[in-house]
Parts: sequence; structure tokens; C-alpha cells
Amino acid sequence: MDNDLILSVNDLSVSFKTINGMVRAVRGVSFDLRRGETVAIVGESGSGKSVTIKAVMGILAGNAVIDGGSIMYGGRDLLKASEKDYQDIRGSRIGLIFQDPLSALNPIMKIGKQITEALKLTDPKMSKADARKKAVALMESVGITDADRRFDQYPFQFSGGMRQRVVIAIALARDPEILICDEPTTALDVTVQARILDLINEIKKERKLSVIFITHDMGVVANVADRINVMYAGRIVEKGTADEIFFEPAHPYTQALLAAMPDLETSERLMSIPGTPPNMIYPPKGDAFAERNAHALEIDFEEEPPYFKISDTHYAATWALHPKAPRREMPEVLRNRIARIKEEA
Amino acid sequence: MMPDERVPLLEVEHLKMTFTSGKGAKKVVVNAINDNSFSIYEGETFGLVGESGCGKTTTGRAIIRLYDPTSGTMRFMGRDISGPMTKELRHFLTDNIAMIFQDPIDSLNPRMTVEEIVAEGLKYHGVNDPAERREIVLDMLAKVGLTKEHASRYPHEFSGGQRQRVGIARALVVKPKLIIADEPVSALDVSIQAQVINLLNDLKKELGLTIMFIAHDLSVVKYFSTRVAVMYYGKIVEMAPSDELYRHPLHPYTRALLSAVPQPNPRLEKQRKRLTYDPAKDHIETGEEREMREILPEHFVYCNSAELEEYKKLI
Repeated sequence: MDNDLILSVNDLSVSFKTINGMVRAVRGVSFDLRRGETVAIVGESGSGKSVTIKAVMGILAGNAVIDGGSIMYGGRDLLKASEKDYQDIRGSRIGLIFQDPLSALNPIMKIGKQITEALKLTDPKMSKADARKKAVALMESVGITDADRRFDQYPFQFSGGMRQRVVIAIALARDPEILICDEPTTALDVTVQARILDLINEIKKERKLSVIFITHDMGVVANVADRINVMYAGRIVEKGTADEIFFEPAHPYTQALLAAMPDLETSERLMSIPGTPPNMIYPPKGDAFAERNAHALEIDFEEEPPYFKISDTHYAATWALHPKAPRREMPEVLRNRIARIKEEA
Repeated sequence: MMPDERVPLLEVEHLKMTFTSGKGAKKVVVNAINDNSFSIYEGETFGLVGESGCGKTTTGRAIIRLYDPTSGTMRFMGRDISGPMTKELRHFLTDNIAMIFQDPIDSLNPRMTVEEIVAEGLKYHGVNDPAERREIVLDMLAKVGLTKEHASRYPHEFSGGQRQRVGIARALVVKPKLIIADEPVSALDVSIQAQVINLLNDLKKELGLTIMFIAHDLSVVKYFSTRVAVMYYGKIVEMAPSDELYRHPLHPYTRALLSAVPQPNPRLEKQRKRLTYDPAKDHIETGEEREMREILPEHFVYCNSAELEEYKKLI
């Protein structure tokens, strides 16, 4: 048994009831979170990454059905926890930061009140003065200057980056051990994004937090993640350490994702991914990415690939790794790019 | 193309755009565009980057005269387009300049079919024969990678990337001289972004388009543009050919902006130092007015002469 393991999602499947049928949003997702590490889930919109963490937080929409699996945390399965049990975990043990800091804050409540509200949940007897002192200290620790004055301001008086800092302060108020970040910088400008990422990395170290980081931006992932799970059409198609995913991507989808975006050195034609993600009311029979993969094998359309082990930490679900599959080199564009970025590092 | 052989399609001089709100003591004046001059040459892609609120979208809208500029002149195809708006000028502008918008959902009328959306511009353009119009529309749809079957469908039936293709078809169908693309790919998923960027690149070559590309993603702007201007609080602070700008960023804001772009490289990212820009500290104050100065051929920086000397040492 791994002592550092604090959260373990096993074979989680979630569907949504809709007028058109059941949408298979998450199909057998497993990942582990260890103490003090950042696990990233990368994928495009609709890949199921947000649904996965909503299941962890127990805040799935009313039409969601959990088809199976388990989420082990503190020796019990969260999927079987009652709403009352969940209230002791949500916020206090597992904190959540959302994408849009403005809709996460109450527009007609002062910032300070929104932070002390969280503090008082942990300690209902805390005096007003104490709560204020703690909240101001918390605001300062997330880099809000002039915190004592800003304590009495409203969300609209804060810029986007400052609002996200307030949301982080609220998430930290109850001293959680896991912090889930759902695209926390997507709505922010690059310079602000850089500062928020630095902040998240800092508080993670300081407080020995374990972080689950959801994003679609490969640059952001490279910055924060120790381990990466790449999701496509409700499945994790590849998992590995940051180095493994960026330098030895094995799944054709991971490769395509890395090659599709220009970086500051790109001048050649972009390798675009043809087509669009599949309709998850009718999930494809085999590898969900097969239809968009020019080099798909026949079996890709027939049977879902199992995980093939590449190293102790690196797995990919693609038939291309089967010993009998024809050996295929990575696309040249990607090979060149990986060689280049290895040199830069 | 040699710099002196280029033909300016659009020349903007000392463009200023201010917005005011409130009255009397509460009056607030915002300098959205603060005295900018630049030219866009035929056949080039001019990238305009900056963070939200820096005035890049306002610049695009002022050019197509969705806003009336506060002062300054704009000449397009040799003609002054900054004067009073007339019906004739409006026609001149809409005939020759087209826009592609960021949000492919909000910018398409949900109650019109794709064919109607794309054909609408042609009607105003004087193509009155329905059969001819249809032929042009279908031809255009094919160019952007949509089929005949798509023509009779409504926007909600399409994915984000396909909607943006419709937006591009609508812009290109009237054969505009200049296209203002305002964040055309930032609402799209990574895999779809690459499709749309490749499409725009192909069309640019095939049709010889001139594009003003407004975006906040520096990697995309660098990849797509011939020249790039960096805007900060309403002011263009640096302008250069794109390779040059990324090789020799000189203005402290440009350097800070470039250092903030996350790179898909875990080893580099985990140890990189980011620069910050503080307008109060990162400049040398000599009392001299700042202006756009050409430090290398085609490379302009907004600075005073003391700063110019400092920047020269960086090259």
C-alpha cells in the first residue's frame, strides 16, 4: 500500500440523461493523487475532465448517473458517502477553484465577508476581530496588497487576477489537503496567468497541498504538472510524468495535440486534427480517436484498446503499442519539435 | 517583398479614441487608443497583440468605423476614411473591409441558414441574380471546407470550428481588400484552432488577402503574422517584423509579455524566471517626450533617446 496515496479514482463512469439519450461523459477513468504532487487532466471541451472532478467533489448535475467505479479518499468511497458526510469533506478537505472568478464570488457581499464565512464554517465560535485578522493574513498570503482596505471592497472593485486570488484565498481558508483547480487561468491574460500559476505552485509547496489541475493548455500543463492524464472522449488515453508526455508521447491523440499548436519557434504548417470529437450519446466501438487518426489500424475501429505499459509511470491506450502492430515513427514535425525543446531545456 | 516596394493599403496616423462616461465631477475619460500610427501593406498579415482592455479590438472597430475616432486620420486605398460618415463612405467601407469575429455563435444569426448568412453581403454588393448568388456562395463554402449540404442548415447545427468557417466564408464572399480578424481562433479547442489557422493561411495565399489579426495569444500571432504591433494601455509600444520582434523584444512590456507565454516544455517551464513590467520603474525619465523610434530597420520602439541607447545595448 502506497502511504502517500491520498485520493484514488478507480474505473469511474458517469453518464447524463438527456432528451436525446444517455451521454457517456466519463468512461472508466482511473488516476491516483499522491501527497504534495500536482496531477493534471488535459483535454478539449467535452472530453469529460470537468465531469470527473465534479464527481470527486460530489457536485454533479441532477441528471447525472454514476454508472460505476469508486473514488477512494481517507479510507472510504466518496461515491457512497451521504450528502452530510460530503459536507465535511467538500471545502474543508478538498478545495475547489473555478474557471471564472467573477461567477464564483457573490457580487453583493464584501470580499472579506466571503472569506470569513469560510473561516467560520471551520470554527463557528471565532470572534469577528479574529476572523478579520485571519482573512487579511490569508489575503496577503495570496498576494493581495493593501489587504486591510480591500477586505471591505466588493468583487466588482477587483481585477480578474485579483478576483482569482480571492477565490484561492477562500479555497485555502479551511486549510484543505487537496486543491482542485478547474481551468483557473483560462479567463485571464497571459501576464496575470503567469502570476497565478506561480502563486498556485508556491502555496502548493508551502502548504504541502496535493493539486488536481484541469486545463486544455499544454503550456500551462508543462508549468504545473508532475503527472499528466490526457483525456479524450471520456477516457484517459495516456498517462505519464510530464517529461514522458511531452518528450515521448505514445498515443496518436497526445501526439496530435502537441503538434497542433504553434509555439514561438514554429514556422512549418500546423499538423491539424481532422474532424471533430465523437458524439458521446453513441460512443464509438473501438478507439474513440480512430476516426480522426490517419494511421488507425483496423482493430482501432473494432475493439477498445487496453492500456499498454511503456514504463512504470507511463501508460497509453492505443493499439499502436501492441507488439504485433506495425511500428510507426512519430510525425516528423513533432519529432523535430521535441528534439528542439529538449535542447532548449 | 522589399520594404520600399510595398503598397500601403491602410495608413493610420495619430489615431485617438476616447470614451467618456458620467458628467461633471464624475466624468471619466478613457483613452482607449492613445495616438497610434501604423500602416498595413498589401498582402501582409498585421498582428496586433495585447492584453484585454488594451484597445486592440477598439482599433479594429475604429478602422471599420463602428466607432467614430476622436482624432487622427485613416487612409484606406488612398482615400480618407476618418471623415464624417456618409452613405457612400459606409458602402465603400463595407465593400472593402470585412470582419471575422471571436465568438462564432454570437456573430451568426440563429434564424438564418448558412446560405442566407453568406449570401447577405452579396446582396448589398449588387449581385442580384439568386442563381448567381447561390453559385458564388457554394463556391465560397467549398473553399472554407464546407459542403453543399451544409448550406441549408442553421448555425446551431454546427460545431465551433465549422461555425468559424461560416464566419470566414461570410467575410470573404464579398472579396474584401482588408480583413479584420478579431480573435478568430481563441474560442476554439486546440485541435480545431489548428484547422482554422491552416485554413486562413491557405486562403491568404490563394486569394492574396491582407489581414489585420487581433489576438492575445502570442504564439498564434507570431506564427500567423508578417509584422506585429504590441499594445499596452491604448498605446503601441513596439512594432516589428514578427521574427525580429520575438528575437529582439526591446520594450520592457514586450519582454514581460513574452516571458509570460507558457511554453509546452516541462523542463523549461519549471525553472523559468518571468519578467514583470512596472511602468513606474522600467523607464528612464529624462523629461523628453517619447515617440516611436526606429531602432533597427522596420523595428520601432516607443521610447525617448536615453532609452533608445539602452535598448541598442540589448540587440
